[in-house]
Amino acid sequence: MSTFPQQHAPGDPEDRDLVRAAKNGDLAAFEALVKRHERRIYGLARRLTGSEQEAQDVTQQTFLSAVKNLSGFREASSFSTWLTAIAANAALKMVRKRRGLPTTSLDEATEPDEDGQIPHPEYIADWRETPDRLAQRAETHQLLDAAIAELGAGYRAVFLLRDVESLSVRDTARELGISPGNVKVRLLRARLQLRERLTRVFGNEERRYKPGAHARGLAFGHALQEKAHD
Amino acid sequence: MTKKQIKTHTIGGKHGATCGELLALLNEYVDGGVDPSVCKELEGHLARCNPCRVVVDNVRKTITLYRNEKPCELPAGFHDRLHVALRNCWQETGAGKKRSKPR
Repeated sequence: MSTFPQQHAPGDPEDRDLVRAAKNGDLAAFEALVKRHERRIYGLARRLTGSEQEAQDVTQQTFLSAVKNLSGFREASSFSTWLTAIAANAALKMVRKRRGLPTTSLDEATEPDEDGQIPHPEYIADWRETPDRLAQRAETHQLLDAAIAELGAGYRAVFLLRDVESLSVRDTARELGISPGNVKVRLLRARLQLRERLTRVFGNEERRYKPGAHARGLAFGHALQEKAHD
Repeated sequence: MTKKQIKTHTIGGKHGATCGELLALLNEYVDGGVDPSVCKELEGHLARCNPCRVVVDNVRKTITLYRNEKPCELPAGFHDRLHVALRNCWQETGAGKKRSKPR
């Protein structure tokens, strides 16, 4: 799960204890679970849909679905992962519905070729600041939102489930209804696209590697150590 | 690339792994899923190729930034509306037959 999944203090009951209490009819236990996860689920839904209103709808649908299906939750995965899967499916269904696409699976018509070309890094430079320092700035959050919004819905979903929510490749594939190979291809492209976008803002222009040379090396599959990137 | 493919994947000629090979295995390298012998080849390449080293570092920092982002605040009033809807659903579905009152 992400770094901030546990919105509870040390000593508070674990999710699994609250789940068992809720299964025994304890509404307060269920509400404690919701309070613990609602911001994370809302944030995921907002990034997947790109809409505050739709994110609220998805979040509500997710927790209502959890109420209705709680007795059938077999705890094979964590409660957090279970919620993430419900939310991702609800959000993607909403996105597809809005676009007038069938709501059964993810981007069937636009699934990338698993052996397709990998985008070459173009802007290559060390970042001027550490992620910790960058995270303290309000404009960083806006930039992260803008960069991820530029990804296609399928790439965005894979990146969020795999890299932010820490689902395995297999679980990400299952939840999105695509193959594990496709998860890997989408993840690589999403990572490279986000890297490109963020490095153009956070990169140190004075220490940028000359554009073109490295891309040519990648295109031809040549080792670049002989080209002395100094 | 499947785990089996990673295990059998050979990289590097007489000059070692190439930039293209590194890029093709970037996910597995960043996630720690490459065979030790392949990892050694890739690290040998990174020691010689600064642009690739920077790209890998950029990717790691990109993931870190997103992964460590604090959850956003809920819109005003949404928490209360959500919990009202949940309590209603709880009663309607009979999920709270045994105990229904919030603490």
